Amino acid sequence: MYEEDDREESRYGRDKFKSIDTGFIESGEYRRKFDCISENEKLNRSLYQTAKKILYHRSGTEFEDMFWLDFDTGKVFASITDMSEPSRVIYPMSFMDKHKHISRKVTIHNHPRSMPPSFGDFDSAYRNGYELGIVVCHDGTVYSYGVTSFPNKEVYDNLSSEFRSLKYSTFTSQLKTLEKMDSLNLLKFKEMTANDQLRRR
Amino acid sequence: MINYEDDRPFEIPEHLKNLTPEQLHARVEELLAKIEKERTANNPPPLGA
Repeated sequence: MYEEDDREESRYGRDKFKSIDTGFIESGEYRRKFDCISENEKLNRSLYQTAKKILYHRSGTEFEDMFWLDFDTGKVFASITDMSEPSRVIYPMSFMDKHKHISRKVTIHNHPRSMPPSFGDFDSAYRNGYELGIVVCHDGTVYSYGVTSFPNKEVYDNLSSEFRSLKYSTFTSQLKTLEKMDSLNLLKFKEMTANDQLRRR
Repeated sequence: MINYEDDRPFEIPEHLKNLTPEQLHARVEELLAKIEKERTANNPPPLGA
């Protein structure tokens, strides 16, 4: 018997897992999750505002929006908000061609099922050279993620499969896999909380 | 080439589906050992260390 995980049971249409809790999204606690994403307050503020925009737009649906921000200025320079395919954002490599002048790019997108970043998220971050990625979940969770080297799919697949074989839910398996890979410096992954302290150099 | 960011739950690849937890764990250990070996080869300790 697998660990129960209601997130996997709800797949269609509007339901309680995909609708956001507006009270929480507007709370100070949610706002503070963004305070330690970076040392750049403008970026953090911009990410928070963009997160709310995405979540309000996609609340109650299976669709994802994605925004790209300049790490140094915090300004949004690109977005995709019209995906009609559920649970993914698809774009060609050439999409970033006209933004090559922006040296450090940050992405933010939503996860309607509130799953942690997928391997596809890490893979895309690596291939596009993103400085940082943020996933905002419909249940109020916020993850930051990134890569410093080629993300190892074999390790990801085998680790996730091992956790699944031990009867953890898909959600917990993915989470434990990312935590383990982060601890081994194979990727960067963190759930942002309101109690995070920014590590100052 | 296409990029995609997605929220789709992990699915166990076909070639791993019938393996036991112990077999999967052994595979993970082997992969991690290989990565560590490559890291050491690429970053040898300084002379005299």
